[in-house]
Amino acid sequence: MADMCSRLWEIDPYREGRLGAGDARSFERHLLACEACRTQVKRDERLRELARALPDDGPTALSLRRLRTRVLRDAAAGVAPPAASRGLRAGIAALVVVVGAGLGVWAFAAHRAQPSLAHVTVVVTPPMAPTEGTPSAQPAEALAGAVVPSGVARWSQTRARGVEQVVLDDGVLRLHVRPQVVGERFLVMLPDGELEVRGTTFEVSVEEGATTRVHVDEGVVDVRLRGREPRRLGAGETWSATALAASSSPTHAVRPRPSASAAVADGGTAYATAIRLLRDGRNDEAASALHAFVLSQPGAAQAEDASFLEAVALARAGRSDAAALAAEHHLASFPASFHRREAAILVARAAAQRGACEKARTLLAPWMGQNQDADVQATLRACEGR
Amino acid sequence: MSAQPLRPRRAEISDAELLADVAGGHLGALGELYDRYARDVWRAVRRSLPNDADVDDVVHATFLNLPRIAGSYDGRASSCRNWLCGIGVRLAMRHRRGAGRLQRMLGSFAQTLIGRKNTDPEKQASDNQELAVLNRALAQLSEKKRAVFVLVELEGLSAAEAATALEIPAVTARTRLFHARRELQQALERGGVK
Repeated sequence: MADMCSRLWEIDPYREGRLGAGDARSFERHLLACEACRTQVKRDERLRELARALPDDGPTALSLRRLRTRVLRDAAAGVAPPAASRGLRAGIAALVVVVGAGLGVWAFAAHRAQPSLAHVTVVVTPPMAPTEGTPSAQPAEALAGAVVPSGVARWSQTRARGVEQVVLDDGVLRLHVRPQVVGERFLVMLPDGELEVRGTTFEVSVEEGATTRVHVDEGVVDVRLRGREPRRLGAGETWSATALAASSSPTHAVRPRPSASAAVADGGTAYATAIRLLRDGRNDEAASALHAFVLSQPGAAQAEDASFLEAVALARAGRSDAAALAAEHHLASFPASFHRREAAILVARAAAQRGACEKARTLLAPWMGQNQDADVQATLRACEGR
Repeated sequence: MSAQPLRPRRAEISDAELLADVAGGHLGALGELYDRYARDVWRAVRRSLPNDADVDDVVHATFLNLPRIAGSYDGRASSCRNWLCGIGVRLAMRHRRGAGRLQRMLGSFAQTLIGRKNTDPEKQASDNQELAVLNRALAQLSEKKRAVFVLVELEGLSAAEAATALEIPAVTARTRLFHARRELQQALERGGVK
């Protein structure tokens, strides 16, 4: 039996080189004579070999890159590390829902019966098509707000007698609200307060029952959260639960308003649809869908990929100049992009074809070292001799 | 933590210097450390958890914690890889404990969760019976033994380094390693692996 020798404990120190020279020689001599220790060494080695032969299911470069973006974004925003995983939180939420369903119904009713709110500012933005997305019930009146959830969000939208309410329980919503007329109100009910707007484009984030961020692209939003001073945010301003101050510089540039079709589609679904179009070879449609996705979800995890794939779709559609423009825009929007080499090649290829060899070389300079790859060489072939 | 300009990525910047920068709120240093060790941390955490989505969450938490805990790095080793892997595995252990409590609370759902955990390894290694047996045995190992085994046998740390990474006495790490190996070897024998 392998575990009968009193010197079995020396196997690991011997293997790790922690035994002194004399002890190591002594143990080597012992190994020659001790069947139990030899067997154990072999078993350990076999186990080690097997363990290291387990499938190396490491992360893909792309998933690591996405995770990197998530880490740096949250670190920059001062987000505290999560106490529990999403799966665990979802499980807890499910349990809470089951146990406290009756209480929840009562609380919801009480939540809706809050006293009316103070007034706010008027801001004019062009009207937009009413959302066709995921309001909780078919409203009798046309909705004033287009709601685009970013990823998974729990929310509902109702409208009655000129008062429209979006209730956000968790997640990130981007909203565009058409200008409100006299007698109309638009409220965003949050777990810890509310927002009121008169016509604006903005984004609001809720995490673990608390509002974490409000960013206004256009117009004015009044932020009223329990235990905090009411704030009024103007265009380009951000309220963050961690920063506790509105920044005068926007966290991202104000982008053109998304198309109505993009605005009503769920972010994840919109991206998946665009990718399906690309796979099906419907390149022009894919390019449009990817473009709309980036415009409507600039902060989404897939935005970087979508921005690059738009250029790919245009290139596949034979629109090389448009592809170059899209790739150039991608490089400007995501300077540290995971796809920057491929995007640079797309831009450089178009530049080389129209004789702008200096620009092509400048673009590809980071990849023109000693181990210049075939793609870069092929791109610059048109510039040989110039 | 404020976004500050990235300083040039240079191989000669030591991990200790980067960690000091991270503690001072330098986002670029955090990105650099991520680039150096995220893959290693991910793999160590992956071995400690059954679910890929949870792995991302734990790795995310590992690096997001760095600005707060960077000051606790003693800097004795030239690389903070083992330290980071240890943090990742410790967070994974905490995660598993939380998940375990939830499973007990959910009662009947527990079988579903455990069933999924048990079938995953086989699915992943269906083309190799020996690996399938080992993978299943690893999944059934207690979290404490598994953490030491992962760090020593898969990540290449010594038992003493694993002890430091997990903040446990060295003798405890060696004992857990001993029992982990024995349980795995017994499982292999039961599974007909010689």
